[in-house]
Amino acid sequence: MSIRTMNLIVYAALSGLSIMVIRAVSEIPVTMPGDVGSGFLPGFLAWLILGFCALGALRAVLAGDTGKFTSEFLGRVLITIGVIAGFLISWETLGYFFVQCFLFLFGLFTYYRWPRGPSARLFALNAAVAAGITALCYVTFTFFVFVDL
Amino acid sequence: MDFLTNLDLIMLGSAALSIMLGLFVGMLFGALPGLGLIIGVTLLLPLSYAMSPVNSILMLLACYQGAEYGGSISAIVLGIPGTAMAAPIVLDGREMAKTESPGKALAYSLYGSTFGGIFGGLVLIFFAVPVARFALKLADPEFFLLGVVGLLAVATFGAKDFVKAVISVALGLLAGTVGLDLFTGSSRLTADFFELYEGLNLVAVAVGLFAFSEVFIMLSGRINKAFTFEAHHMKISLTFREMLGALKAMISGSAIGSFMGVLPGVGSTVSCWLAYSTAKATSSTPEKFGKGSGEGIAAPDAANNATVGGALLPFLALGIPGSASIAIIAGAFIIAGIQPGPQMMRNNPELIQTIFIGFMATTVGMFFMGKALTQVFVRALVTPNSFLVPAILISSLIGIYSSKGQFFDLWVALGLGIAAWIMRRLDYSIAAFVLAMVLTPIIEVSFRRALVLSQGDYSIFYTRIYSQVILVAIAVVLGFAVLKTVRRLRDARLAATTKEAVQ
Repeated sequence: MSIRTMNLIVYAALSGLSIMVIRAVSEIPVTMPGDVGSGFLPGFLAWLILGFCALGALRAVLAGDTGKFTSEFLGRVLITIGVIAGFLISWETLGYFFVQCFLFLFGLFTYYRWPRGPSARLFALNAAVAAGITALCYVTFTFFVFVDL
Repeated sequence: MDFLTNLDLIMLGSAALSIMLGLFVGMLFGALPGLGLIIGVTLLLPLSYAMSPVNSILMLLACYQGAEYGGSISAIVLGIPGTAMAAPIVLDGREMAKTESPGKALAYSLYGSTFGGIFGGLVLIFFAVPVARFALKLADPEFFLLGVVGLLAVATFGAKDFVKAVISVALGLLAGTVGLDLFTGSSRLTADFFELYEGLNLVAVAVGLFAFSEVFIMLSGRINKAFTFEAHHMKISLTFREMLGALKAMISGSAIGSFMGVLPGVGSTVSCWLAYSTAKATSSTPEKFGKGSGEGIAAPDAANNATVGGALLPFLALGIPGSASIAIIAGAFIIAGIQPGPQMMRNNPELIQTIFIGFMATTVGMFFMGKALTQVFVRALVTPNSFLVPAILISSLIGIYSSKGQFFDLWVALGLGIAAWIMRRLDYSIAAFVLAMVLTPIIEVSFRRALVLSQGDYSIFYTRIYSQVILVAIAVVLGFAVLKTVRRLRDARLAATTKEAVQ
């Protein structure tokens, strides 16, 4: 995908968001004399975003093609996002945070370091680092920050 | 004497520990290329919920100071600046590390940072009270206009693309309006999520925008690459003669850093380049610059750390943060329910005194920690991103959850992280977004209260002399923005014409 297309997609998405904001705040009444009302600032900002998105889109169209919007290792980023989402769902539904924390860390270490070649040493190192970070989190957040994870 | 009799040893001990934690995290994150100051401050912010306001503020300030020095460690040892601010330090720092000794280059950096930190601290101590006393004469219209100046300056000076910077600022302001309206109590843009009634969680927003998006950017590169270097001659010390030789550069760097720090949207990146060129222009040995000059290291490093004190001045005295890092530090004040500004300076002098003393203590602490632990931070540079990324992710997730105990915030952070990952690559400014979000209450409340007091008469914004002065500043910043855009368009057209002619 070209950078111009990506720019236009983002401008379109932001314009859509602005229209939703304008609709959401349009019916908030003004209750105080002299006041502009609760909906004034969000509404004004949404119109401002719409205006600047139009300006940006016009500029993008006139500028022509300025290169490709590519991402190396896109699969790795998407898998990581999926793993984070899965971890959040699992933590929210099952609990046992520190067990899941260890598995999350060990899983990601192994996935990221797999290209170095799987070996017993690699698994042992990944498990040791994951256990160390989990223990550090446990001590810090249980005894110093007092958060019930 | 009153101050000494009121000293509480436990309080002192916990403050010292908070400063040490902040310094350690700051130096470590500053040293590791790709992480840097804002992520360090962001990841420490959730700890504020479990700390006293003073300790959390000192911890974050220590992190800020430590990261400014930490950025120079990788610049000198690897030739890769840990932070954008440390870029000029590569020129002479790397060269000195290769030709003389990395320890000496690091020592110039540490001595410069400490000098700059103390200089910036003194500027803060001597000017904050008079500025705040003057600020008591300002009213709502002026505070509204000051907020606008800050945002315009960030959009103009701190961003690559003015149109996208304005959109970023507007999005940040919009994010700041989410939740219950302080004036009327009506809910805005909450989509019926009760978690949004108090507004978007600043910790979730900051972590999502800075930490998550940075992690996704790190994942788009080579994550198993481990840096290598030779750790010889790592003794971090300077002779008195060497120190004296760099004194002029440190003084000029500190003065530039303090001044530039006060200006919103400018920050350390500009100030340290300016400090470098000034030091070169005023040096008796300009030919040594770029070949391992001690002055070339000390000047930008002094400017970096002096910027911290300068940046705190408008924040503490006026309540207006001028950069994203200060906006995140403002989060610690918000969490503690403290509103920075002239009223705080007048009503809470003990807190201000403690911040001033603590700020100087962070600088002294940075010097000793730098002397003792720089070698540890140097060794941390070999950690590949394949280990760092999961560690940052898990500490970010715990940090967000520990702030309010809501899973909703974790999803918000993830969503914003993905959006910021895409938008950063298209030159949108996430720093402007966060700054605008933090400034929203000041801007909106001042604007609406001024209008209520004037019964809807807009002339209140330009009839007072102070307002008129600030309006002139707004006009100057806008003029600069227009000039910058026109120049950019002209350059682009010229480049296109040249390309066509070549073809």
